[in-house]
Amino acid sequence: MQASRRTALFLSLLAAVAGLTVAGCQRPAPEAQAPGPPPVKRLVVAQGTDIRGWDIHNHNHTGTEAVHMNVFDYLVYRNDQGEFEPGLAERWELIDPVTWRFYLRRGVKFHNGDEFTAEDVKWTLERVATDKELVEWGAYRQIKEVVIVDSHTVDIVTHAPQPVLLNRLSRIGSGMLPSRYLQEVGWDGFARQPVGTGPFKVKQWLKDDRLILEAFEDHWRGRPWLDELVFRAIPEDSTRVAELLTGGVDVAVNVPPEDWDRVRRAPGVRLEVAMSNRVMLLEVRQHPEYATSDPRVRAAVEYAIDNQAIVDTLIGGAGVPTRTRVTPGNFGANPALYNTYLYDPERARSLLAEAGFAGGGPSITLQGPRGRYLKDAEVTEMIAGMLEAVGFRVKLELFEWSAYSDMRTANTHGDLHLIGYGNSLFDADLAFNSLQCDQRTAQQRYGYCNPEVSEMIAKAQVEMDRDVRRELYHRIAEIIAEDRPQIFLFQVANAYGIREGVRFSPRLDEMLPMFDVRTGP
Amino acid sequence: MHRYLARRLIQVVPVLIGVSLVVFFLMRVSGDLAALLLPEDATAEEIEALRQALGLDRPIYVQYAYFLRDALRGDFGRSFRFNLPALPLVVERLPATLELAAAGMALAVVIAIPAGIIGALRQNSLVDLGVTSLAVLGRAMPNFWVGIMLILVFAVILGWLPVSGREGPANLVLPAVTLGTGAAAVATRLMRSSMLEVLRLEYVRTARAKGLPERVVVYKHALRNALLPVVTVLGLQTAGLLGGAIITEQVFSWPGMGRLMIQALYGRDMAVVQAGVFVFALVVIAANLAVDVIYTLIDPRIQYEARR
Repeated sequence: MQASRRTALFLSLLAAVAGLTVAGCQRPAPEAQAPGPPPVKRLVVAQGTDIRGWDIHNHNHTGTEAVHMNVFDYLVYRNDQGEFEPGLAERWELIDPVTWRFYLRRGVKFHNGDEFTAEDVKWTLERVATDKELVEWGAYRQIKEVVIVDSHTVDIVTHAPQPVLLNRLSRIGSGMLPSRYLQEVGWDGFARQPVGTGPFKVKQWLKDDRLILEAFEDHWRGRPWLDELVFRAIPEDSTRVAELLTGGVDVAVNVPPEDWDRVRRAPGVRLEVAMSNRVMLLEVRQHPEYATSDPRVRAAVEYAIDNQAIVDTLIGGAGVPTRTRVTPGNFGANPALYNTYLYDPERARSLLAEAGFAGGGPSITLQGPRGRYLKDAEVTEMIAGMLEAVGFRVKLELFEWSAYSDMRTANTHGDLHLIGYGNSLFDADLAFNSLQCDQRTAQQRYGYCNPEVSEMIAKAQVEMDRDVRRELYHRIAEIIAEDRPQIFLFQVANAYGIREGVRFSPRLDEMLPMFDVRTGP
Repeated sequence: MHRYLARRLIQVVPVLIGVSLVVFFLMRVSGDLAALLLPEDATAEEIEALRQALGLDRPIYVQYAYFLRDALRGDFGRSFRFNLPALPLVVERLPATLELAAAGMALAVVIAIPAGIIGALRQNSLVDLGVTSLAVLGRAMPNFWVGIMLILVFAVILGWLPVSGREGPANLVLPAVTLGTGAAAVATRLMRSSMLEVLRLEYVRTARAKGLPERVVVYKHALRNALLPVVTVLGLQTAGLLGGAIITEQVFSWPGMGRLMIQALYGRDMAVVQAGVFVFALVVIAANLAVDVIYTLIDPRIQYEARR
């Protein structure tokens, strides 16, 4: 009796597994093939990570913003050429150096039917400008208050003149929130059913799996072409590429260099490589106790590094050598410092000899993270090799990201360390701000103070004349390139795998606006 | 039996407090949360402001006391990443992981028990050699690699199965095979050696001497005893399967607890890590308890009440 029970249990288990396998081995039924209703116009985009929730002010994650911008609208948009376009604000004007007046679009609806008004602008911007607990507070704290002029006009008042206010209002955290709805349902309710004014509304979010958005019929720009927009989170690079190759996704973000040939050779998909806004660089100690306090040693470091060789051998050519952090597409970029580098090992050796190290040396510590950026450890190792080739004695240290981040926060890093900086403001302001003499970062991380640079940065930060600002930033970049508190390596590119027929091109800001994207022949 | 179960359940409390201590302090010493949450170019002032706002400037024992008080009420804090309470987030993801682990375990059992028995009955034959070799191979291949290879062959080249995600039974096949391979390999080898050992015992010889058919000797008399060590190991493998699920979920984009935990660790989402480790600990404890109960069903000689 017991034996037969056991046999029955065994057989049923076997049947279950066999059934599962048979069921599994059937290809998923192609969707939307039924006659009658037109096929659903769907686009599936795969990113490496899922979104970080729905609090637009409490993340600094580019991948999340790339999705959010389809659900929430900004007052001002930066288009793919980097120019500002009206969004929820039809137009704007500077009333006085600290007051910007925004005229809001009328008849705009949130997904829940609420009308978008000046109240929403005030509530949204004052929240992020005043709550220090929010991750984005630092980028909006320059806003003093938002004054409601009438139901569709607001004045944004800043603490000091803000030439980059439009940049601030067209980036992470700039989406407009439904103030009345949020006050009714709170953040937990909002997380369950987020509501914006964007071209797509949230249908379903299966965390760490997929976010399904559907077209918002009443969007102020008209209904988007797509019926459904799906963002899938596929962290494993090879899986993301496999989904692209088998038709599971239409756009795969961040295809790693080792898969580029595979994607290029595959039928029905194309690879597009686009520049990002991130620049890899070395941060350099200038405190007197470090060898790199000698400008000749710092210059020798830069002359020793073959930026192009790093780009070509380690990251499949997906980068451009640079001598500035402010690359084209950002306000204030100095073209003379872009797509250039100083590699000259002989010059590096003679500079070291001049500095008193003809017999070898100096000894320096070079540190880098492992696993934070594409091939970061390999880049650091290659730089160490290049430095040793001209006579440096390099102590190389690689760290897991959290330990690395701690080291930087505690200022216990050595002469040189590798880092990658983006620029979500798309303005030189963000790149140079921390290099002013009175900034703790400048004092502790670099030990760098050039009063001339400091003065120019401070002036540019409140200068409302764009031409004057641009000139100031060009000059600042030139001096920084010579002073070398940072030694720049290369601007990083990202690769996208895209199904043929999908009319989408990657952008410098890595955003994924899908309002007018179309698919098909 | 009931008293035994009650005693075992009470023992869970100090284990969970120990787990909470380890997780809490390891998370705190592994990095400055405020710096990790902000971008690389955040100023020292911005990092300090966030540290204060999050209460991370308080002494660590004070932070732990608050954490423990809230945890007792089932409040593990809010996820930074999702801006939602952490425990429901973890619990919401548990079914996907259990589904995967159960499928992996079922596959392991279905493969390992017959394979182990066949290997033992035909010891030193070609079949035995095949079973043993496959078991060694199954153990030697890392989960991660098996998963990627299965995707390449069955999804990309043959196109039989979907690559990733969790949409239907088809999506379960490749991750379950990936996860079950290692456990099946261990259990097969153990089943084989355990069966060989039991078949040499005197009571089996007696059964054969009585003239019982070999099928009855093996399945009615030997199998039950031979299963005991296999059940023990499979019970212990539950923790291994949950651990393996973390990698498998990552490869197949399976939206279970493993992926949640990995992302939480990368993002230093402390509340989720703490709640997740708690739930993992509970699942492992429950699995071990289940093994003890299964013992009594397989082996009537084991009576927990009688032992007292």
